[in-house]
Amino acid sequence: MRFDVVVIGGGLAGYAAAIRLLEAGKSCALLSMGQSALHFSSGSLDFLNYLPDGRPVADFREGLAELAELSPGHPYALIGIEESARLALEAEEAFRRWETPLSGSLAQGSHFRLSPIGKLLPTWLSSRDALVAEKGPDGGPHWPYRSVSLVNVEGFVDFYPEIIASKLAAYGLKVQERSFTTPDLEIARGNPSEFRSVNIARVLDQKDNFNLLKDFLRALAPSSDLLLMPACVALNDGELLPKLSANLGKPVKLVPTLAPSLLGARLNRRLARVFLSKGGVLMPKDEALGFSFAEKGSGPARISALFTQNHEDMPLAATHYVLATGGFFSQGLKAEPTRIREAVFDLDLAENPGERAQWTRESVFQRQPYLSFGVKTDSNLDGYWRGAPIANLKVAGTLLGGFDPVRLGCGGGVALVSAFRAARAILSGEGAA
Amino acid sequence: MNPLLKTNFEACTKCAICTEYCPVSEAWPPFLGPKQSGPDGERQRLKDASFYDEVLKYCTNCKRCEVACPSSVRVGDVIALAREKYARGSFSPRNAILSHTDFVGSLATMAAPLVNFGANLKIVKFFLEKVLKIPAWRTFPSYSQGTFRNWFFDKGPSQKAFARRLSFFHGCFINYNNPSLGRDAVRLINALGLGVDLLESERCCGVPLVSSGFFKDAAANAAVNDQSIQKALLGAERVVVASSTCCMTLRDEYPDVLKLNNENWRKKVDLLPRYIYRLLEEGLSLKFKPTPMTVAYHTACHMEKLGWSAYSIELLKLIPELKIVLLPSSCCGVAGTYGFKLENSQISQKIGAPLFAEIAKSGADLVVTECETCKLQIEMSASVPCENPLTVLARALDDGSGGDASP
Repeated sequence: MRFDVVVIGGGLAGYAAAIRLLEAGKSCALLSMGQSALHFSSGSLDFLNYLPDGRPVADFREGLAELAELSPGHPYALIGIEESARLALEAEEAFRRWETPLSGSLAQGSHFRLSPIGKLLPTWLSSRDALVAEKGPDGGPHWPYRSVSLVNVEGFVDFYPEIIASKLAAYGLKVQERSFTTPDLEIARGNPSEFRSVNIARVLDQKDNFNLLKDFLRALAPSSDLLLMPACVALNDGELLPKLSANLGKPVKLVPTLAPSLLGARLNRRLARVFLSKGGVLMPKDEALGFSFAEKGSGPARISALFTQNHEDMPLAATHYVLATGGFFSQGLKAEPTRIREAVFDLDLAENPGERAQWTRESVFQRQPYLSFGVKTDSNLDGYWRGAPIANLKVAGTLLGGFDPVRLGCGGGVALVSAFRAARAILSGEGAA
Repeated sequence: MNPLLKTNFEACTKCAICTEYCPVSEAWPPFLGPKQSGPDGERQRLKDASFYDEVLKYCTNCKRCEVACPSSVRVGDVIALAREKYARGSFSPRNAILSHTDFVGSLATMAAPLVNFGANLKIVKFFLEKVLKIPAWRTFPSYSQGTFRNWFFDKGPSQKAFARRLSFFHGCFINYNNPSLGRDAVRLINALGLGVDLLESERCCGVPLVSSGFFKDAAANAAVNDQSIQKALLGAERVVVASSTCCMTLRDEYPDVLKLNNENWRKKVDLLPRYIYRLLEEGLSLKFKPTPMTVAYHTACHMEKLGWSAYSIELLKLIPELKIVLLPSSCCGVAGTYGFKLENSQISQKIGAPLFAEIAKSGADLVVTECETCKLQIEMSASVPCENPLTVLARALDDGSGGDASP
């Protein structure tokens, strides 16, 4: 089967690149090995929170400039800091075009989001349903609320209302805790190990249950400036809570929970839907198993076909390939006994990982070297194979080497910036030729 | 080898993404969901069989858990294997009737008008619901007068002239209920310049038997089909299948659930749209006439599992003026014989509701899907006709014969 582009990987970077290419009129297939790491994410996307030396980034543009000096192998630095900032704006614009509204922007600087245990973390883009705070003049959170009703679902254990309440109180908010249930939720709770955020949402999103929730919140609305819940409602519909807020006259906001995380899952579902609506061909639960190079001409190597689990001897052929398979967690990288291997093409790595003993550090809170392992590229994001670039393979997302998305707080930003960079390189014919 | 080892169940990280995509636990939360029914429960069952929960029979075997799993655990297989090993349900005449499609189909096609008339009488439906627990409000599949096999051998076009041959696994639904789909398949294959054989002896692939817990009967069917397929491949270049579920069963359920080693022919059994696509890539051609209508493509669960929707969609795109709407992939709820069991029927309709809404929104004249029971469910619940893509392709064929353009 032939396409203009085959994207390998159905996470943030893969979908973003694929949708951008579809918009430009390219035919595009996307291979996904299963649901992506977005299901484990808060749904907020970080651009750059810390520098490699640990200092927090106060201003994105200044931060980028310092990053390029301290860490020239970081994807932002490779792509170029001006270009990275421009691509980030392109991503913001794209989400608006894709009717997937997110709050925050590079121009406004970072805002705060709340972690599942109530810690305030800086971030770039958040779901409109997430509780966020703008950065006040003192660098701390600026809340437009004073009194908060924190409503947990009875028996939901992936959320810690006491901790959240005490944290919010420490930020000067007045918090009253409530808990909510419905007869249907009581039935679902009979299966406690599956009483998780997205499964609760599937019950709460049903009309009768949602109306019960609405009535419950309505009773709290007069005494609250904010109605706050764990993210276990509105799984498919990003308009549900804005409408409810308008109806109640008070904002209803969510705090992300432990995985599976609804706001991340919802972003994934939304991207998949946009991809399909623009004519993308989804290859669900398929895995790239092998590939072939085009016959050797004078220029750099080109991939001519990709062999997959489901398609067996009928390869997927494309003019361009985008590899966005993620890091170790998503199995884009594999740790073998004595080496790290990129899973599909065995691409060259950005840095030599050294001996196995050096891949990890003993304490989980120390810098973990393996988190910055990834593949080598140039500024066009061409992948390298045995020392030379492949002309028609771009790499995007966490699979890229040279950065630690956890420590720097930049995973979402790198995914989007590199996805748009890869798409642009394909559309403008840039790359090894 | 213990088939459980092939399910990769130890790779489960308990992330619960499978449950997020399970249509049964969405419609009916008391179902434990794939994680708990599958790998989580298996860890307990391995220690003590009394951990087996009869609620596992509510699994529809749709495999959407396997498609969603980021760790490539074959969750559905873990559940099916557990049902085989531990379930102690008593014999149900209803399940026997629903699942022994060859036996019931052979009888029913002999007296099709009477059966079709009778099955839709209120009094009969009342009896079916009260005694057999088959919901009376369901539309039952009608039986054809005479089987597809009889048509093929008695009245079908001669296949002698063709050098290249495909062996067609027609399945029960074509044979007993919808022979016209079989005729469409023959017409398409002949239009490509290839001839059609049938298997010397074909039994039901076994999937309804597996769903109802008749694992031994399913394995016996598999053994007959195994022999027939091996024999067929001596003369035919492929065994081709019209139904996504039969195809997945022959290729994957035989080795994974029924413990039949099909390595020597697995990759030579293909879904017919995929094989047609391959023939076109080889350089053969089909000519289609303009067909100005809108069709909505529904990805049946087992089609999602096979991962081959793209072939059907690409073939449909060859028909001039045909507008194709892709429905978001979701389960129609019927899951073979599942929705025909009274205790499941409400769950079944609840599962399908989002799909029916999408169909209504699409404004399509026709829904297209490779699964025969999706067809029954969609026609009953969404009130839009539903056909296999092979039928749409055959109706649009411009082979000079004028064709059978009527639905």
